[in-house]
Parts: sequence; structure tokens; C-alpha cells
Amino acid sequence: MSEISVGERAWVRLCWFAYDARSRPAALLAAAAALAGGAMIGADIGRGGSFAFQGFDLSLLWIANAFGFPSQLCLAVAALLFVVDRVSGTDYRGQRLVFVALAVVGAIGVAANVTAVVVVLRNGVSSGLSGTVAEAYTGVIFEYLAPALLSAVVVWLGLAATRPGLIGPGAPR
Amino acid sequence: MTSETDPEPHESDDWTPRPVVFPIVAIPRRLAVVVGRSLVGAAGVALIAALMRALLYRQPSPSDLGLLGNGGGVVGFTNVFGQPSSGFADRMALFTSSGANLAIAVLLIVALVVIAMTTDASEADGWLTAWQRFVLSTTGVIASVVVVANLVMCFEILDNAPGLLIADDASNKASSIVGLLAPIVLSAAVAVYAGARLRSSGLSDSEPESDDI
Repeated sequence: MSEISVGERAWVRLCWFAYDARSRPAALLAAAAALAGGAMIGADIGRGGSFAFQGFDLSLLWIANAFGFPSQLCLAVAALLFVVDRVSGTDYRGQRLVFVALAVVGAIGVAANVTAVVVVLRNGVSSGLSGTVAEAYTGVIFEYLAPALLSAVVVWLGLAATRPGLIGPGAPR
Repeated sequence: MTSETDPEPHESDDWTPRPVVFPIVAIPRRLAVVVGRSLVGAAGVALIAALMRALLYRQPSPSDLGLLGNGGGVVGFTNVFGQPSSGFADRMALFTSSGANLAIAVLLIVALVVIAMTTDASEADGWLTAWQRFVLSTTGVIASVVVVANLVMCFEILDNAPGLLIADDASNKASSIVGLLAPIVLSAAVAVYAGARLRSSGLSDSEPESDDI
């Protein structure tokens, strides 16, 4: 194992996260996926802001859309990669906090999407220009159930990674 | 205040860059080859399709819609009622929404993970087979294209670029740009990892076992 050179040490001082990311690719990709998920949530919240003041039910749907499939897919990828990084054995400061944060965001996603399904069932949907009402119901429910399931995966991964012995060093094989 | 010998909160063993930290997972290599190539191939095809769509798209004119009669409309009226040609911002919006989007970035990340999982524990850190090199380099190129395209789209939105296809974006600049950041961040991470891995592989090829000499 070679020692770090003077030039490299200067680079580490300048940008230690970037240097560390080179040695922890799973954490780098996971952080990027988490940022992307956060960006998607923020963008969707910003886009649907006009719905926030048009009634309680529309507000609930607006929040559920922000925690929709693309953002939850990003968070699921992030959770998986953070777990992969944890399995690789080297802990870092704030690791537990990262998993707790993912679990919290995932729990919000589950709650928002399940609530949206309830709102849709309570208010009913129109069949639109084509298709039957049953098809419209099925489409809308699955539109919210799919991200709810992904969010549940995020919650499970986050909670499992924070509990000792389930994921990571010392876990049963 | 950090000391001179240990300037950052790192363990001393972690100083040397190690691009292969993914744990080794038992996955058949042939399956991984097929999956990796398929994922990158799908991303590449989607990108090419989006490029063709962006370049060849033209907005339908009233004559195309049959509003000026059969057979393509009345000669002479077509130009009068023709739609304006799509500008650069329109075409870039088409490209980023249909090709250089979040789905492509997620595909690339999964492809990278497949590559990383197939690394043999007995191989030197950074050593790559030919197909791994191919998938990594292709992934890096596609990710770079996605980053550049979305960055250009961000600048177009900030610049209030005219265009029918980005009308929604212009109405809410902040959320549009934040939304474009998602594929940018993901693809940038993919490009950084692919570059670091290829560079590390090149170093290990040119200086085999240099650490132990």
C-alpha cells in the first residue's frame, strides 16, 4: 500500500469529499441518487404549488405527486447503494443519520401515496375521453401504489441498515 | 484543528484511492455481460432515438392536419398558415425530455453496479476486462452527453429562450431547473466513477504491482 504523496495530501485538504468519493464509489453514486431524488421532490413541489390552495384533497394529491415514482426510484437506488457501501465494511460519521433520513423520507412517501389512493377512492375519477371508469380507477391507484411500494422498500432498507447485525459487518450470512 | 500528518478525518488505511469498493457478489459473469451490455445498449438507443426525434421534428401545419383541404392543402396557403420552425430550445427540450432524462441516468447507474459486482476478488484493484472497459467507456460517454444536454437546457430556461415546447418550463424557472438537476447529478456521478475506474485501470496496466516494489 503506497503512502499518500504531498500533492495528493494537498488535494485532500482542498476537497476531501471528492477525494474520498474516489475511494467509495458506492457512496458517491448513492449520494448522487439521493440528491436527484431530492431534486425531483423539490421540483414537483414547486411545479404543483398552485394546487396547494385549491382544497385539502388537491393538496394531498399534490404532495403525493411530489413523492411520485421518479423520485422514489432515485431514493430506492440511493438506499440500495448506501447499503452496498455499508456492506463493504468501512463505517463513516453520519452513516446512521443518512439511513434514518432515508427512512423518514420513505415513510413520508408511503403516507403521501397511500393517502392519495384513499383520496382518489373517496372522490372518484372520471373515465376521460376513452376507457371505462374501472380502468381509470385502476390506473390512478397503481399510479400511487407503485411509488408507495418503492417508498416502503426505502423505509425497510433504512431501518434495517440502522439496526446492528442486520446489514453490514457482523451480519449473519 | 487537524494535524500535519493527518489532515482530515480519514482512517490512515483509506488514503489510497480504491475505485473498487463494491463487495463481490456472486453473479454469473455471462449474465452480467448480457445485462450490462443490454442496459448500456438500451440507454444508447434511447439517446440516438431522442436525437433523431429532436433533429427531425417539425410542428404540424394546418395543411398537415387537413385544415386546408385534401392532398396537403391549397398551394400558396401552406406558407401563410404554416407553423414557425422549431428553434434550438425546442429541439433541446425534446432531446432532454425523451432521451437525456432521469430514466437513462438510472439505467446507467444500474449498469455500473452490474460492472462493479462482477469484479473478481482475485483480480488486482482496477483491473478490467475488455467488455467491462467497453461498458464503462460507453456509460461515461452517454452520461457526459446527458450532463451537457441538461446543462444547456438549464441555460436556455434561464435565458428565457423562446419555444413552444418549453412553455411550461419558462413559467416556473426554479422548479424546472431543479428538476433538470436530477439527471445532471446522477449522470455526473456516473461519469466521474467511469472515468476514475478507467483511469485506475490504465494505471494498473502500465504500472503493475508498483506499490509492492
